[in-house]
Amino acid sequence: MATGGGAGARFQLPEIHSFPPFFTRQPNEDTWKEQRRLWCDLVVAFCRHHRRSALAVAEAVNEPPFSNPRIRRALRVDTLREVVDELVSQGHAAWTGPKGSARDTCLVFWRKPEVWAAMLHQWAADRGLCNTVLTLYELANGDDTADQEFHGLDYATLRRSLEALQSQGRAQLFAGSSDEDLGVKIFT
Amino acid sequence: EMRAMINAVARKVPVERLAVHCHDTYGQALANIYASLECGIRTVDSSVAGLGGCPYAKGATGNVATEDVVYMLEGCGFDTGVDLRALALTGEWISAELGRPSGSRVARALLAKHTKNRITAQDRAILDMKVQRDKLRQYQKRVHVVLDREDQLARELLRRGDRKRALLALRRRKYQEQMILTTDQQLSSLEQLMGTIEFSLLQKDVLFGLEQGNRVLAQLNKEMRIEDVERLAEETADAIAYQEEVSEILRANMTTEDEEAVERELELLERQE
Repeated sequence: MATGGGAGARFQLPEIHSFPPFFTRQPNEDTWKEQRRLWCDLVVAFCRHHRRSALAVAEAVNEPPFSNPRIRRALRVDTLREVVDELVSQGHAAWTGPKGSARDTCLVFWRKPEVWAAMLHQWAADRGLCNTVLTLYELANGDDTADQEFHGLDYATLRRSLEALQSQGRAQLFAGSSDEDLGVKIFT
Repeated sequence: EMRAMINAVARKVPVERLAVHCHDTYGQALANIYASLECGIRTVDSSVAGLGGCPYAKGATGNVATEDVVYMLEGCGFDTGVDLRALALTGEWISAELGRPSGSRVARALLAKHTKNRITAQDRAILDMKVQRDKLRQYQKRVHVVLDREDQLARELLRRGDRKRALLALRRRKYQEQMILTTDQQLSSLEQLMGTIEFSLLQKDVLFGLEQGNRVLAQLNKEMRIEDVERLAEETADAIAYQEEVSEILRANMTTEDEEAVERELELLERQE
């Protein structure tokens, strides 16, 4: 469905979110692994609900879900970094920003790029648009994709998904005279 | 010979302060580099895609390709820290830009398995055109806000009795509507042409058409600021200068039919107020 839950339904936080220790990095490794797993699930679910992908670690800790003002607790930046690192190793996130820089910003893939890639390919095949030039703008915002789940997808995730399709040999991304406006050809 | 030379120099200078720069004129660069490594050399000069050579030494073809060196070093167990695939793609790009084949056999081998480039110049032109269409669509969505405000402004000005400025607001509005309409039509014809006629025959015309389109888009961008609409009604010297400027542009760009249409619109508004 194209409608994200963000507009109407409120995001349901799990019960553990009201538990102060949930926001403190537990010293016992086994406990931490479980805590981290819960945070990972929460991050992905939250992003999926709001159809948000970009996360700036330093700012995120000041807002829900990483901060819970009712119990006056917030996750620390380095703890959040550990959570994101775990998401990255699962393929559910990627650090953005220049290579070798501090881990400040990331993209959360609440749906894996490969899954988006398959949907994009399917849409192109269904509409007979294979081997034609498509702009990223029309994929994300065009009238032809209004009923698709990837409509309104942010550019960074869309680009990654097309890159995934490209490495499968099923598409090619390219630029025209300006590097900022990318196009793609999706092959059959 | 390489070993003898390096060992001789290493007697005077510590080997970690030495680097080798080998040309590939006789195809012996990699062998020489390998020999240097055995002598303790750890800094090697090379050039992406083997670009460049020695303009002074007649017959010296070129530098050894970085892709080939990295491939060999990685194969020997050295950690170069270089992303070979990214390097090969960069070499391919610069070679394409320079219009010459890459001097690296490794790059050619690696990239032969890579998807062959299935993007033509025509595709790029089509992309440019589609990008323009997208931008135009975006402007079309935003312009309604500006057009409505100009209409409102014209009515307010008429109520104030300022016919001159009301006319200006309406003219500006007409101009913007026309610009979007014309550009849309031009892009449609471009699109049709590109679909039907041999692109190579059209190339110059298409590029010209796209250039036109770009200029119009830049102009449209300037026209989209709603704050500017407000300036049409102000009395300050600054605003008056702006109004003169707008008048000039409109004078140069509107047809007589457009002007007449605007006059009729104004009369209609006057009767409504």
